[in-house]
Amino acid sequence: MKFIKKSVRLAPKVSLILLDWSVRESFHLLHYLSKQEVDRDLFEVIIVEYYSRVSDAIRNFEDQVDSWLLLEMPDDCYYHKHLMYNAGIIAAIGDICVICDSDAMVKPTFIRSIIAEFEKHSNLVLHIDQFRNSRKDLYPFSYPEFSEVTGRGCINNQQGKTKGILDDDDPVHTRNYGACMCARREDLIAIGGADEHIDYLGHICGPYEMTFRLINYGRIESWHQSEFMYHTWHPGQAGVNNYLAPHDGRHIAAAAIESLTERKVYPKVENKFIRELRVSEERIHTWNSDYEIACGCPEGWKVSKQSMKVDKNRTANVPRSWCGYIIERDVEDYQAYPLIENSNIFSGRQRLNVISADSYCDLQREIIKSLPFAMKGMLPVACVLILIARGFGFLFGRAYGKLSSVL
Amino acid sequence: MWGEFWYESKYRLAGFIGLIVSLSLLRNSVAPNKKVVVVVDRWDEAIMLSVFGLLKLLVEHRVLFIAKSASLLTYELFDEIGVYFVTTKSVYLRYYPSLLQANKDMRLLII
Repeated sequence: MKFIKKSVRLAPKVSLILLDWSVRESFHLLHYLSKQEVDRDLFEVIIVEYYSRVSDAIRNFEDQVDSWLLLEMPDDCYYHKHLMYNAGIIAAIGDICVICDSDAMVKPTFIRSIIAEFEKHSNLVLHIDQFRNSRKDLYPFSYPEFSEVTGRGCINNQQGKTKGILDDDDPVHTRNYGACMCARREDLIAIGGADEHIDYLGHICGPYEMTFRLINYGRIESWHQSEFMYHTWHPGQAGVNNYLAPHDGRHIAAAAIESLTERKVYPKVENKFIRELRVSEERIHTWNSDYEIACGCPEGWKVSKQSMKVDKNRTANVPRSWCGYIIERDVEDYQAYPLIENSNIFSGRQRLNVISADSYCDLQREIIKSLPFAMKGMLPVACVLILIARGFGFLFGRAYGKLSSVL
Repeated sequence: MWGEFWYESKYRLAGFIGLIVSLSLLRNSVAPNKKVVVVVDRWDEAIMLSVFGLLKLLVEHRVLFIAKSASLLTYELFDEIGVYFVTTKSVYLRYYPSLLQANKDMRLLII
C-alpha cells in the first residue's frame, strides 16, 4: 500500500471517496468538484486505486485530489470495491463520507446540498440519483452541458427528475443505488464498514449493501429530490465482461438482500482496521502498517478468465436458504432446519426435524423426500406455469416497449 | 437480456418454492389466535397459492396481492395484533420501505 498524496485539510465536513481499479478513463467528476459553490476546505477528495496504476486521468486534476492511495493488490487478484470503500472510510477525515461515481457530472450545488441535508437530519443515509444518457457520440467525454445529458438520449428523465425518484413501487431497481451514497463516518464504522465477503467480488456490489445495514442500525434512507448526478455512456458500463457474484437477476447482490431481510447490522467479513476503529475510542487511523485484507485469503479473490467463475468451496460455508430451509455446513456434514422456526408465527408446540446429510446434494434430496407426496407432484407443475406466465409477460413488455418507442 | 430474465426467474421461483414449503410446514404450527397473510406481487403466484390453498396443502391464509406500494399502507389488517405476514425476498426488496416496520416488529417472515 502506498500514499501518493495525503490530505492536509484540517477539518473538512465531507470526504469524497472515489475508486479505480486500473480501468477508469476519465475522472471528470474532479473537474466539477473544482466548480463547487462551497469553500474548498469544507470537503476533501480521496482516490483509492486497487492495483498500482498511477492514472494519467487523475494527474490532469491532481490539484483537486487530497489523498491518493494505491492499495497495490496483486494483478491476479480480482477487484473488490468494498475493500476500497473501507480504505476510503479509514483514510477519511470528514464527518460525512460520500461514495460516488468518479465519471459523472455534478452541479456546483452538489456538496452544499449534501451538507444541508445532514444539517437538517443527522441520522440519515442519503442517496443521490443519476440521469443516464445512452448517446455514444458523447464518448469520449467532452464536457457537455447538463441539459444535453438530460435531453436526447437520456433514458430516465421524467419532468426534470429521474424516473427512479418518482417511482415508489420498485425503487431498488429503478434508482441507481451505486451512484452516490452519503453517510456519517461514525455510522459507517459503527456497522463495521463495507462487507468484504467474496459474495461482493467484482461487479455485483455497491454502497447499498451498507445502506441496508444502516437501515437495520436505525438510520433513515433518504433520496435527494432536487440534486442529481449526470452520467454519459462509456464502453464497459453495466458490468459487461465482469465477474458477477450471486444476484437477484437485476444486479442487486443476493448477500445484500439477505442482510436487509435478516436485519443484519454487521458485515459477514469485517475489515480488521475498521473493527479496530469500531472498538476503540480513537476514530482516526494511523497508517503504520500495510493495509490488510480482512478475510486473509486474497487467493480466493481470483476469477478464471475463461469461465468467469470463482472457487465455489470458498463460499460454501455460509448458511443459505433453500426450499424453505436454512442450510448450514457443520464440520462433518450439512444440516437444514425450516426457516419458519426463526419466526414468531411458528408456535413451537412441536419442533420440526432437523435434516442432515453428508453432502449438499444429499441434503437437497432429503429435503425433497420430506415433502408431502401431493406437494412433490404439484410444485414442478406450478413452477412451469409461473415460468410460462413470466415468459409471456417479458415478451409482451418488450413488444410494448418497442411499439411505444416507434410511436 | 434473456440471460437476466432466466436468472431473475430462477431467483423468484426459488423464493416461491420456499414460500410454498414454509406455508406447508406451518400447517400444524400456527396458534389459533394468529392469522397468516401472504404478500405477493404477481398474479400468477397469487393464483398458484390459491390452488395450493384449495387443495388444503398449506396453512390457512389470506393472499394479499399488491401491485403498488400505496395499497400496502391502506391494507386494513396491517396494524392488527395477531396478524403475521409471509413474503419472499423479491417482494420484500421491492416494498421494503412499507414493510420495514412489520419486519422490525417480527411480524413478517421473509422466505
